[in-house]
Amino acid sequence: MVIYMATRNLHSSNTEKLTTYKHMSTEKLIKKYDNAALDHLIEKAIEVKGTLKEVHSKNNIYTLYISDGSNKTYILCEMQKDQIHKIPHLKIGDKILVKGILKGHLLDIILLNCIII
Amino acid sequence: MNKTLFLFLFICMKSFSQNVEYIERQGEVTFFSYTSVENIQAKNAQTLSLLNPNTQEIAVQILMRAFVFQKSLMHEHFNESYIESDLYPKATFEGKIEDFNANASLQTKLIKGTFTLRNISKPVEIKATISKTDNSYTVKGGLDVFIDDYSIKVPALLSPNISKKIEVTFNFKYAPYDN
Repeated sequence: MVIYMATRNLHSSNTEKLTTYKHMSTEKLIKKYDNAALDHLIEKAIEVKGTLKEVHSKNNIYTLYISDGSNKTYILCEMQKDQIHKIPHLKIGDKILVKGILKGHLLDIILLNCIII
Repeated sequence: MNKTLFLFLFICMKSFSQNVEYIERQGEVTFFSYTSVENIQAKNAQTLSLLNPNTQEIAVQILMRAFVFQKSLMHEHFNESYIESDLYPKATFEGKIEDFNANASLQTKLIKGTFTLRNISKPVEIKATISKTDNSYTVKGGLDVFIDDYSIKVPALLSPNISKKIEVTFNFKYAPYDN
């Protein structure tokens, strides 16, 4: 049971405490998405490095749009609540490193509970 | 510019303007289950939707794992037992807004279409409020989803905790999509 909980990462809402399963660039993650090879990363804590393109907020939910600079597919990082104070310090075009739980993809790749590292 | 070339450009521009689509990458979908034992609510703020005001078509994709619950155990039951998100990661809706006026600032319309959950498709009708500002549309509404319609099995022990009728609401704000 303990092993199950640790591997699925379902039982902790604080991403900071989770062990990073994989670290990759935005470009590499988008390439995996294009090749439909994301399944083994679902519900895992991953770190992604990329360029901040946009910041969106709605009803106190903040989402960072991260891009590899060339692709129209974004990594959408819905931020963990305790990270909101860091957002005003970010600038569009910054290279950033985030860690979040990969949930899957629609048009974009979606990470929840993201923290800025 | 000769007349033929002008006519060709006019047709191209007209055709382009009729196919302007609008996108919402972060639509909100919330569901509620009310019972005397327990109230359960979950919110998904990463729903994708496309709207074509000229064809009146609307399409929605919901990533089931992106619903956020107050308790992580509810999240686990929802994805592992009820929805089986590994097998059915997305819910979708495709439909058409009846008698839609693309230029009206505020209108209440019926959206008729097909909602697919767990690979089971059912026809649905949704009453929605649609507002338009300069360069954006907002579509709000709701529908009731009956768990038996989508073969969602709840263990007898937990049956009093989960309503047979799930109330779903949505709020999408669309921007022009440069695809």
